[in-house]
Amino acid sequence: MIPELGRAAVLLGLAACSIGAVTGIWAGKTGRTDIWKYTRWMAYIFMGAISIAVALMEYALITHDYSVKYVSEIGSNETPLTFTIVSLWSSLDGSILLWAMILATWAAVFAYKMRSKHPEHAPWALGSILLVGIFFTFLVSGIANPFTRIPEPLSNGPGPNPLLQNHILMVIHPPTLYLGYVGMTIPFGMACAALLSGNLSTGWARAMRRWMLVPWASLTVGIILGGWWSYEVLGWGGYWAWDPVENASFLPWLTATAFIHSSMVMERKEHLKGWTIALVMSTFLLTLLGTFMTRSGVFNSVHSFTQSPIGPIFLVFLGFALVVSVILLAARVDKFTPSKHNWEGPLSREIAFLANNLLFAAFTFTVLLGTVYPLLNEVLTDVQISVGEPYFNRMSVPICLAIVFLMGVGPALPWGRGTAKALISRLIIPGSIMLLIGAGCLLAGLREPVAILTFSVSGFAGVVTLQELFEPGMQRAKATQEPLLKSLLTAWRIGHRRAGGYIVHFGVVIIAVAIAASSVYRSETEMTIREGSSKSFMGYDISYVGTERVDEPHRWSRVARFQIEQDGRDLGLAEPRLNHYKKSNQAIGTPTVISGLDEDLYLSLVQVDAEGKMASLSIVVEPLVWWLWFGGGVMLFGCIVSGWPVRKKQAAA
Amino acid sequence: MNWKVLIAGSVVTLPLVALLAAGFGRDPKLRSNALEGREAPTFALNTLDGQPFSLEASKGHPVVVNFWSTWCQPCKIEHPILMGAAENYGPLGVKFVAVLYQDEAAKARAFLNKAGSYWPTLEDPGGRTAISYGVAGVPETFFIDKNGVIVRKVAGPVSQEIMVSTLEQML
Amino acid sequence: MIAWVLLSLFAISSVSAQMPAGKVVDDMSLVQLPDLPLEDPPSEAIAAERTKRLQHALRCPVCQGLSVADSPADAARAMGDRIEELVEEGYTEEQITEYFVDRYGAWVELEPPTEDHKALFIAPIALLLIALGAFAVWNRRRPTSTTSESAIPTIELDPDLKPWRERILSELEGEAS
Repeated sequence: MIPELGRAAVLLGLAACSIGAVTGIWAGKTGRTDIWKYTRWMAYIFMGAISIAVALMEYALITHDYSVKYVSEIGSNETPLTFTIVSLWSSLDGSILLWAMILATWAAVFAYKMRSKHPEHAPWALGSILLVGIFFTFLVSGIANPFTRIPEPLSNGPGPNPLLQNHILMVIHPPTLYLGYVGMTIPFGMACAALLSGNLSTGWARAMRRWMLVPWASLTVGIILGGWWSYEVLGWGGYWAWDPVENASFLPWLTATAFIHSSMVMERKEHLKGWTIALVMSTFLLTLLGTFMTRSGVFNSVHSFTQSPIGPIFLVFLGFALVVSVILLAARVDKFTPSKHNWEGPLSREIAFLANNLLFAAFTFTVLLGTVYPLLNEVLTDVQISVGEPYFNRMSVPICLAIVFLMGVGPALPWGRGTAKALISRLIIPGSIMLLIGAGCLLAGLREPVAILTFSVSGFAGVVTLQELFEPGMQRAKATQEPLLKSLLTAWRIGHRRAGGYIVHFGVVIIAVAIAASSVYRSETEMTIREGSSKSFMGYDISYVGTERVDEPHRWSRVARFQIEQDGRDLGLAEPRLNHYKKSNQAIGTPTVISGLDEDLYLSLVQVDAEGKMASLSIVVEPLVWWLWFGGGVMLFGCIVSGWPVRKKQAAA
Repeated sequence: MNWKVLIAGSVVTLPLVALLAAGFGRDPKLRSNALEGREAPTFALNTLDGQPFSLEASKGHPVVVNFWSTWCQPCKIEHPILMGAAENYGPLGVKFVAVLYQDEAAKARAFLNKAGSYWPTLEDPGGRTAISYGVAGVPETFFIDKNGVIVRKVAGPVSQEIMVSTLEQML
Repeated sequence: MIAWVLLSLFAISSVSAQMPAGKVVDDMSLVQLPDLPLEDPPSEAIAAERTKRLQHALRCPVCQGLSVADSPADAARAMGDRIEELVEEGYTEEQITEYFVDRYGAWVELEPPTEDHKALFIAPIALLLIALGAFAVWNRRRPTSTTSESAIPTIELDPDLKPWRERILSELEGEAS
């Protein structure tokens, strides 16, 4: 039954989505509220139908119903329940189903929130969003139909890719990333609405920014979780490899970040309207491009699913979306009312934002160029080349340094026109701290320019950010004679949007320091230890206690136990393991990470000899890695503070 | 219509779409056939039975060098084809030799005792020979002509057709 | 046996046409390492540094975009060891890179040689400069309507703070009443 029911639910979703797309555009054109109401209902039905389809698929996965094609491809009786549930997104067809569900949910929430707001724009926006929805639902109902019935089902399946059932982060990383990725469709729809209606009012611009904030936060967290997953699972002690698919998630993040900044100029000064809209559209188009890269098999990557027939259709859709976006933008952008304001002198907040946008645009272009360059080269010359980590690091380090520096200068500049004198007086303390940090690093014996620059520039930006965070409350305390803490809290509550933004900045500063420290001051070695004896590395004493074979239904593992001590302090037992999956030849390791505030000790098991007497380990000591995940948490917290809905109780003054 | 926006947008997007379309259907797998047409790197290794073997000694004969391992399924599929070729072309002067890749000698012996082989299998400590041949996975097969030049490299299992045609050409 | 022969004949006729018969590169000898390293064996510290640099610059042949240094795969370990040996024997970084490019192909370098792929490095910088230039030109051409806004006085305090300051004052009034 499941195959037929699932298909029916998807088809119902497709029907609702298609009708909704038409009525949405109709309602936008005519302004009729009754048709707008139908459109919202179509969005709700769309969400309901696709959710039922997902529930059916989960049911089939959990009950091991191998008559469903997707289950027969990815399920297995031995896989633990958690990984059976999450195998919805461990292969192509299931992940597109999940994609459709998230999109439908976003659309329904948007419809609900907009039920009595923005009548001029919302129907256009929902219509455009559902138009995108048609494509994904069409994939699920046709070419990528995961519900196809297998006529003679087997009694067991191959199970998901071993790498994807190795860590609990696999449960939350992909949905978080998808939430952000797919959520970019909403601001895209809203940008289309602004263009189609030819009116970009301040209210609509504000709404667009709010609807960008949640997907942006999800994408941020998703990317960081992805790095964390790589770190905990892949066994090389790194978190980012500039893999094409990592880049694919990073590109829309860059343009979305640029948008969040340029939209402030748009709100304040009505400048950059066309540019800001273009950034929203690029963000969505880059998510499509990224999906194409993952799904088509054109790019070789760890994350690539196998080659599939959806590639060509996806390319056609991508091309269509690109052409429509460019034409729409070109045709309507001149309808927006031009700004009454001038660009003031170079020392102004808007110029700082402009510089920020230029840097982010250059960053986007660099990452995109590096990602597609090998393909370009191969198409033109038939020679395969790699553009990997060295290139991206070389190019991104100066850009990132400039961005972090700007994070310090920007907030010190006023809107309108500032003077050099005022700027200097505001930056004298952070600037001195920057120089002090630099000098301190040199005195402490650090000689790596990248690290020293990052530390001092981050210190500069960090101090400015803290000033911006605490100054309002301190000023308030002075003016009101309240206790300092109360003033601070009140100031943060009143200016939560602003405070949230600076908290995010502070998270970025933490991450910048963590990345520089962990990559520049990483030390690694490889050692073989005899049972009962110990070796030391970087102040850690590692003694090999013994090994054990652990059997589980879906795999067997060789677990090696090491007692870890640091300067006589017992850090406990490390148990890195090598897992042997039934369907895989190469053993897949699970490294052990002993995390500390100052540094991580990263152990991965390379080999244990036949008798278990000798164990070979690869050991990495990386400083400050923990702060990377913490910085991600700070960024998320900042987003929550900034986007927290505040009831406007004082209606009339 | 804002023509500047239209042109700028097209300049950015159209080449990208064209590139993706052109790249479509290409196999993204990395090819490593840089050695084709070049002199085969020499090697002198020991067989599983401890006998010395060097490529130099086979000069003047066509040589087929096969890199394989027991953990590789395609290698096992390829094995009968190698057996057939060795049986038919061995008498015509073609030398066959296998190099074990990232594997244990005991496992290889066990497999060969069951499946049989008409050629020496060499141990490759440290994978040096595999590296000097640019092996990026198994099986990989190199066809070396009488002059010691690699005429063809096949990544993945060699099909009957390719095996025969290449050998005929080298003779 | 008959099938074998028939198959052979078919295969020869179909494939031999595609085979470049005498495709021999001129500098065949490059594939073997040069007889003598160009330098004496380096000191231990220099060797370690060179090895590390090369292991980070060369790509693990069986992984996706990871360097030899980063990859935990067996093949990458073997390659890493080989790099170390070659460095210790005294081969230069260029020779060793060439050794691997000869065998695996150009992709074994994680970053393509700068001189052959200048566009990759120059294009982003050029784009940044063009964008800056375009903005400067566009801004100059805009009609400069000098509004009163341009006469905003210099700030001691961030103007962002003004609204909330006013709000604080109004709230205080509210509390008092």
